[in-house]
Amino acid sequence: MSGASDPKRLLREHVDFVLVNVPPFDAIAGHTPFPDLDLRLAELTACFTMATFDLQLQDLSFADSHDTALARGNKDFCLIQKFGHIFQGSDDVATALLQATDTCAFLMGHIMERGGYYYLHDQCVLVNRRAWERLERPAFGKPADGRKTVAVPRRSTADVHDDYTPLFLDPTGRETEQDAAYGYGWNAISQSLKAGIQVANWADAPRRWKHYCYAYYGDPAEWQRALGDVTQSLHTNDSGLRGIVDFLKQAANEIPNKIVALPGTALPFDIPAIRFNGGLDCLFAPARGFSANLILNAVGIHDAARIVHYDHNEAALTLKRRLIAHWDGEDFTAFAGPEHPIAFHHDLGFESKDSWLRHWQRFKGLCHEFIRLDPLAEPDAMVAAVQTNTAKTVMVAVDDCFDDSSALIRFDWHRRKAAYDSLIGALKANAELYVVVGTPPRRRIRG
Amino acid sequence: MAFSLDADQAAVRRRVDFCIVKLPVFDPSLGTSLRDDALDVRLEELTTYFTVFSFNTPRHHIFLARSVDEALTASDKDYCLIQNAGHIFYGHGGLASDMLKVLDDCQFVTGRILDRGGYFYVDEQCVLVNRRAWETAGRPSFGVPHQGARTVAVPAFAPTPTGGISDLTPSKFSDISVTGRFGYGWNAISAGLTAGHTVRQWPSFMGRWMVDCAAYRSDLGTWREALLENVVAPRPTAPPGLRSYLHFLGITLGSEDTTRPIFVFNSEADADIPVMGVRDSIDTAFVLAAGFKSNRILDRIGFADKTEVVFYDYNAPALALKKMTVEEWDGVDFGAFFTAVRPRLEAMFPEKLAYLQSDVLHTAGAINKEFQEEMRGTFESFDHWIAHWRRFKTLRHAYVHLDLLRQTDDIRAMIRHRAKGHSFMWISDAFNAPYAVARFSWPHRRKAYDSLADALAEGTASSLLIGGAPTLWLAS
Repeated sequence: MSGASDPKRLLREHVDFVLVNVPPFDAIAGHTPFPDLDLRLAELTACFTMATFDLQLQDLSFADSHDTALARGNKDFCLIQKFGHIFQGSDDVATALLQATDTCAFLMGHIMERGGYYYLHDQCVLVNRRAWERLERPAFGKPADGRKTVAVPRRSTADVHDDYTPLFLDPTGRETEQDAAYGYGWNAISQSLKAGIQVANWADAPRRWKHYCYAYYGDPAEWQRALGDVTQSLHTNDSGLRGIVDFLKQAANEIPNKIVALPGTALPFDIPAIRFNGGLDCLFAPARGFSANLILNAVGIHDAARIVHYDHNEAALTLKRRLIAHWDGEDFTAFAGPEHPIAFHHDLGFESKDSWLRHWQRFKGLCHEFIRLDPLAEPDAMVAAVQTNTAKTVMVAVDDCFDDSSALIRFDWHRRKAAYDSLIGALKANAELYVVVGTPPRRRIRG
Repeated sequence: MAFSLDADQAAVRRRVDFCIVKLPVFDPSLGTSLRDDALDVRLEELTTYFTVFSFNTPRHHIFLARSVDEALTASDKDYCLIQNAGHIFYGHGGLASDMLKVLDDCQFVTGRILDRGGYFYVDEQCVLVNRRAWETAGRPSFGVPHQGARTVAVPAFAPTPTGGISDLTPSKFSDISVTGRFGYGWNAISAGLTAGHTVRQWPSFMGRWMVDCAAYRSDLGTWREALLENVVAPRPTAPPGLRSYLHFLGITLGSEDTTRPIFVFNSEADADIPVMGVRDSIDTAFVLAAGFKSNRILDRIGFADKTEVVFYDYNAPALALKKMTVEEWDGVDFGAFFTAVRPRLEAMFPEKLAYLQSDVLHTAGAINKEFQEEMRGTFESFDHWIAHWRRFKTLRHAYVHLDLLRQTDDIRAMIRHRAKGHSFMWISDAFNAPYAVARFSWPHRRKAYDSLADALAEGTASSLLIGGAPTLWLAS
């Protein structure tokens, strides 16, 4: 499978992606779950899994155990991630995982040797479902203590790190009775070895792109606070938490840099089919993209309308100012640079070039205001902007700023919802009629 | 639109590219027909729409090709299902399940194989090609109608009791030279046999899911009149092919007045309800009688004592049920209420009433469960709901029996009469539902939509339509 030209597609065709929330094994903070923390971790895992592998939320399934995960799907492989595990990176991630499927005879995971029998760390495991079926669907194995008869492996002499992470376990054909502590996957490991199948640790290639929130190995409450708003300064002695927060900040920062000044095409959400007899008085819209034009084209343009362009990205505001001041609407690529080969009137859904040009000239003549703000990170600034632009009819294009990857990575559900609600509250207080266009914050988990 | 989410549909979509062509129809005696551009748009729309509907495949995944050869080279899934504009697949889970069987059996080409020409050919209505086998065979051209001499493989086959022929299997005979009129797919048939493949007929069990279109095999004017001018009741002299096609569009789809089901519940999500608010509240709400989405919308957008609710619907029994509900139900136990009023409702109408979702209407408990299923996205608690319902019942309500697509003048009159201030109209998927697309051409649907939108805007300070604008269902 690893020779595919579209590794993500091939991966999606052959792998079920499942999230589980099994209690941590051997965690310092114990097994007691913190539901809000788990929700946040689940959201991060789902968000990065979807972004990294081009999946939709419905492509992910959630299971309460590894056994349920394996029984639920039917693809050749099952990638089971615990809440808080993250794959993130370029197409190389999918290629690396495809290579992993090529070598995963049955089990691939973080093999652990911490005193008891070998087990798989719960953060992430890849299972060859066809092999699992051939082995008559053995139970994965849950944490337990006691005397069990298990296969004796020959461990690799080398480790991934330290001295308790063997690169592989080879079968020996021998079994032994062992009174010990057992972790996740112990039975699957034993059954694999009994069947003569090697158990493999994650290779270097996929490891490069993996991250794990060891929240239950530190102070879960501290993790919950820090992950709730990763933009805040962090004062912690937990190096794992610091590493994850730095990673999340960087991941969030990389997103706007990619889309700055991109003109944007059709909106991924519907503009309500609303008309105002006296015209729309005030429209708030992100400076990046052309939501304002799409909305005004749909609801009707009105010469007394005020357009408030907001954006947290100064470059997007600057470009929008330049466009309104100097661009004739004809050749965007010539104006903005060859990296934007956009045929405007067509991509924006205008009926013809003439209709686009008529719209653009009229749009340029409206009253424009430019405000640097992030409605999600600075809800009070957004409220203030609404208050200073009180009008009879107001529309606010939020696009997906409360629900995109950047939002999900930076803020937990409660903060996203609170910022959105404060915007609605301001609109209720300051407009006779308001409409918000775009995606409200959503919980990105299922189950 | 209520698509079923079906694993078999997903399996078909994973394996099949859907393609539409506009091939001139082939007749071994007459040659090929011309095509009519306007009629082709309508036929393409019907094919696209019902393929979307039946396989739950996105419209932009269905592509238009100029020929079968282009269709085969244009994409890369294991199979390519090529329909000539006008052909229809109609069904849900059962269709997909049967299609999977056909895929598994399709060695090379599956179609309606005919032997009335100089050589065997494929009826252009619909053909399935195993792309991997086609690639292995060296990507042979499909074969287009022409007259001449060709060397072709000789199959083994047998006549069937219905006058057709069986699957074509490779035979021990050497290739022969044939002079005559060749139809679509002649070369693919010959190449498939040479490669050792059986060329399959569409199995008989697929017949219940497929609707042929004989548009170019009989009087074109009659077809244009029926499909472009919305004359859905064919003249007595209409050709059998047209009568059969219109029977499907009018009767099989349940779009006749007497067969329209009552939507006791409404499974539409809330996603199309805008996030909006009106300080002085909505003045007039035009809403359909289906289920309780009218309440979900009003609760989200807000209403006041002055709000007038106009229930309009083309389904008279649905309106009657809604009137009973508003006037008589206390909002507590819909299962018990519906079970109690159902005999009275059915006594009001001479025809046998049909219900959706009928499988959840057998017991009061099941009805209540479905009710909660519909409402829980908007109403967070019973208290929230009951407070809403008690206020809602005190509003002014009107009930108007109207068809959005047939009675455009009456719709405008109703809107002019009642719309004021801030008004909205919930139209659901009325302009894209099977009834709408099957019975009314795109220009008619568009005109009807624009007409009501303009009427609503004319008499109001703000007007909102909730639901889908009509879509022209063409392949990409």
